[in-house]
Amino acid sequence: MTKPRSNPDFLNGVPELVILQLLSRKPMYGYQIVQSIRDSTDEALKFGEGCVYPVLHKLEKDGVLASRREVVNGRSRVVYRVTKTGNKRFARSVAKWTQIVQAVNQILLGEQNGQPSLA
Amino acid sequence: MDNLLSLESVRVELKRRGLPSKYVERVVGELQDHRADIVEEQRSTCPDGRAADLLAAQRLGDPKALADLVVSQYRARSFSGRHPVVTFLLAPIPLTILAWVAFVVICLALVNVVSRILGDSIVAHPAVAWGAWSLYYAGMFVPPAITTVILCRLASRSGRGWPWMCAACALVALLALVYQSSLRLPVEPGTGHFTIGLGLSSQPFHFPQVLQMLVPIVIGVFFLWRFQSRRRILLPL
Repeated sequence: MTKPRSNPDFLNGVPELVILQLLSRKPMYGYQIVQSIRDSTDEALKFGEGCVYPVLHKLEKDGVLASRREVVNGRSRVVYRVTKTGNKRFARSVAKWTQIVQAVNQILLGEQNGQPSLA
Repeated sequence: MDNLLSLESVRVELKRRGLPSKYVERVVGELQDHRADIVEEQRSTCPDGRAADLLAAQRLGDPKALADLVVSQYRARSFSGRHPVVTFLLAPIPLTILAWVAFVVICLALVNVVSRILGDSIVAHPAVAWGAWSLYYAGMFVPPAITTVILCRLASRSGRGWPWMCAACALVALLALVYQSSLRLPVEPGTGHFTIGLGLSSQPFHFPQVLQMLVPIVIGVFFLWRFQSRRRILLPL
């Protein structure tokens, strides 16, 4: 069986946005976060699942997330939740992401000022 | 079994690259929890435990790539982790000088307070003379010692490890070698003399200066020993 290839594009700021979005809905532990990403994207994002933990730890160090070891379904797991600082950062990240997506879509999809779209 | 070995290789690699043991154990612990969840998920579709373990290992990702990411993300958490050249090559000398200046300022403030209390009798006071000489000799060793301890702890906590720590210790030791000071206690008020500066004594291996240099080296060796002893791991057979 071939090893799943990690998607390098996943490692460029997108993980933070995705993780904050998921945790803003409810607190989760690492495996739940990965499962939610897989389910929400129909496995479009492929990555080594262990990669989520250094991202979580860095966000925790930045004060964006808080963690606590809790018992979930009879198992002890480290559960993460978004802090107030995290909510603010999430709102800023979403606004920035929306801006970027709109700008890229303008270039890719439509004419601008009478100029032909990119071939 | 393969998955256990791959997680163990992650632990070994993280410790080899200088990450603090406590953080390494946290990362590996969460990876082990994740592995257990994947195996549990596969239990219904894949009754073969070994196949489930292999799938868990694949899904967790390549151990080397995972260790690289953990190390880079950990180092990105602090200024000293992100900027080792500034912290461990450029900063040690000005930091040590700053430590000496701070020590001298504190000593002068202390002398000021004592002289206000004792007045002119400070000159002949034996306890004051004893205190002055103690501070004088402490000034040779305490500031570089404090600077070295701070830099060694920074190297350890930032995950940058022993090479940067040794570089910083060497720089502090060099500066400590060239630190010179002299003290002449006053026989009358206003006749005392205290100087500090940088320079090599004309006498070869002038004893206090060599001792001054040894203090940061000994502290660095202690932290290096502590770092190496924490890295020693017994791999499971």
